[in-house]
Amino acid sequence: MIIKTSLRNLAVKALCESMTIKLMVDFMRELVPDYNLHRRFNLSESISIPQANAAKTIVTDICDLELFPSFVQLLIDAQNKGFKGRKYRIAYLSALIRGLELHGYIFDHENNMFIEDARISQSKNWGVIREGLEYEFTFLRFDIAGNSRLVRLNETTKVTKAYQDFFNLITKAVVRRNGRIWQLEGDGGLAAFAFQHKDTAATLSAHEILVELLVYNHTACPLSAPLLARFAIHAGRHIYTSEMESLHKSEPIKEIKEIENRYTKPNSCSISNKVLIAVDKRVADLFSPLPERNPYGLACYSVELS
Amino acid sequence: MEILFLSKTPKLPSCFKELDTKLHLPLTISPPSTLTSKKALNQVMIYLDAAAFSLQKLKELVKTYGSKTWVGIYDAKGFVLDPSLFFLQGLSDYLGPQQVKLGLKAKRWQELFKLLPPRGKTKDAPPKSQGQELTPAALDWHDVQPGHEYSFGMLAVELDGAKDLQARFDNQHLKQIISYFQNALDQFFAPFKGRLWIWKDFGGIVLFPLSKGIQPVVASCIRFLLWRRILSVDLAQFKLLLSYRLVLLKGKTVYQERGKTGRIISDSINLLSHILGNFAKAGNFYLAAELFEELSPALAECFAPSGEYEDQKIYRLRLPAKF
Repeated sequence: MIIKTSLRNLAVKALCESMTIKLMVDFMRELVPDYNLHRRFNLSESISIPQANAAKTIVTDICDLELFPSFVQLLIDAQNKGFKGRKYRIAYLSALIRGLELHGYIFDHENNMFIEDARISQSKNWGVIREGLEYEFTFLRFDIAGNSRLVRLNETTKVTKAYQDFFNLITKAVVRRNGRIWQLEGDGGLAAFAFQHKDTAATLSAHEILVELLVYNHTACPLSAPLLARFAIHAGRHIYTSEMESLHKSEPIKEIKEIENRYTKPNSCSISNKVLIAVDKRVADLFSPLPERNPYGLACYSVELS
Repeated sequence: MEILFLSKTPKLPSCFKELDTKLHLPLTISPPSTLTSKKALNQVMIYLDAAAFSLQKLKELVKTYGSKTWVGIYDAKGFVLDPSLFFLQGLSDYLGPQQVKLGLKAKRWQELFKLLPPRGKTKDAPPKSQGQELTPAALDWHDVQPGHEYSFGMLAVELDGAKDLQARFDNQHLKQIISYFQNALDQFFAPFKGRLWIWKDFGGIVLFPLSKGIQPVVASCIRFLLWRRILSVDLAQFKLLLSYRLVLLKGKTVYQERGKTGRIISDSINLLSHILGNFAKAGNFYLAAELFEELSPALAECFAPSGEYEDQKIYRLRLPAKF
């Protein structure tokens, strides 16, 4: 993400007028623990650096590391809650927040942090989640049922069209609720939700897709039989990485795979109890406990016309 | 039956009072200009205020409408000297100065209605298909001119449980809920050129031009009904689970812009409101038979017969166990 020069300059001014160089570096070390300002200038520790130059370098580094929203977040916290036991008045803070909003970020009150506005951009880490750190995510896994049968019984062009329509439905429902598609395989994939009522958002997405799929099957599906899919919703702590290979090693992702494969029928959605208890009651009421014994306390829901 | 009183004065004369209070018949007062020769009136009795028309005009109107529906004359000042001539031309009732002064009891009205000869649609006659007459179909909004009659796709929609809502929320919150619901209707139906046209209390009518056929409109109605939980959760500030019912038919009406629809008389709108008010159950979507017949077999599978209302066969959307 490119931060415009005007906003960078404002950040430099804010740092210069609000804190010492030592404090700037302390803030920076919250985000980059081994940050060394003197090394950036190729100077020994004994030589002092002019405050404006220090602030400018720090802001440049923040922008290069794509940490600008997190940095503004630190400044907000320093003013409102305090930093290392003391509150600081940060100059131009509201202007910085407005500037960030103009750059396509929105403030997530639930998590008290800036995240990408999904209407503007949709990167897999919401622009703020950092590589190698562990976060709590809610996952939605989806898979087209009877893939090989569909491929065998229908022309390739029709199958391709139907799958494309299906993935469009998924993307629309997920992105609308600030989720991100992390993986799209041939006949399924994985979406993640990290902010703003993430459990309800994941569940509503699955509900929306099931409803849309029902209408699609009765109006536009080019296949000889309805396109049916299985959905599973589960949550857990996961170390974020942009390398999708490592997704398969993550425990909650292994579990959601099992929930989808083993316990979910076509045209239905299973949800683990861990997620269900946090879902808005009006949506949670759709689900009934799964009679089959399972380690996740699963409940399921299906959209079939009676 | 409905009563339409055509007069220059907007106040309803007291002699009609018991029609409303005891017989609960829908009563509308409209200016004389509302009645044009284009109107097709079914099960509507018209009373013409003699003070609002010349004798010549009265004769013309009685002659024109007397064979199609029931026409009465309200003559408080005795302008009509020989009412019997009007009866020969099709008049069904005459309220002279004496009756107007004394007032009319419910019993008198009931006797009159028993004696009225059949007019318009009867059970013996095959039901006319709405929108199959000479009225042009509204194909797109830019072709639609106020004051002209068109056939449209007409969707009546109403929030269920009005009393509960009124008991639960104050007026300001109710306004917010209704406004949110109206916005949702707009968002859902705008891609199919649907326009929210009339709104009263908890429900309204959305009109659709017919250029794209009715199938996409039916599909969007299904989606709208099944999205009720999503819409409810998105209405974040209220812990409310919305429930609403929908009725879709093809009908005709004179088009007037939104907000200027008070004087519109339309059989289709009457029928639509009656189905919504008297037939439709909470949380359901109903479809008139002629629209059902236009559906593709795959979409028709979603509906099941649900009975008849005023000679119209009605179909109901088959619903999931929970939605």
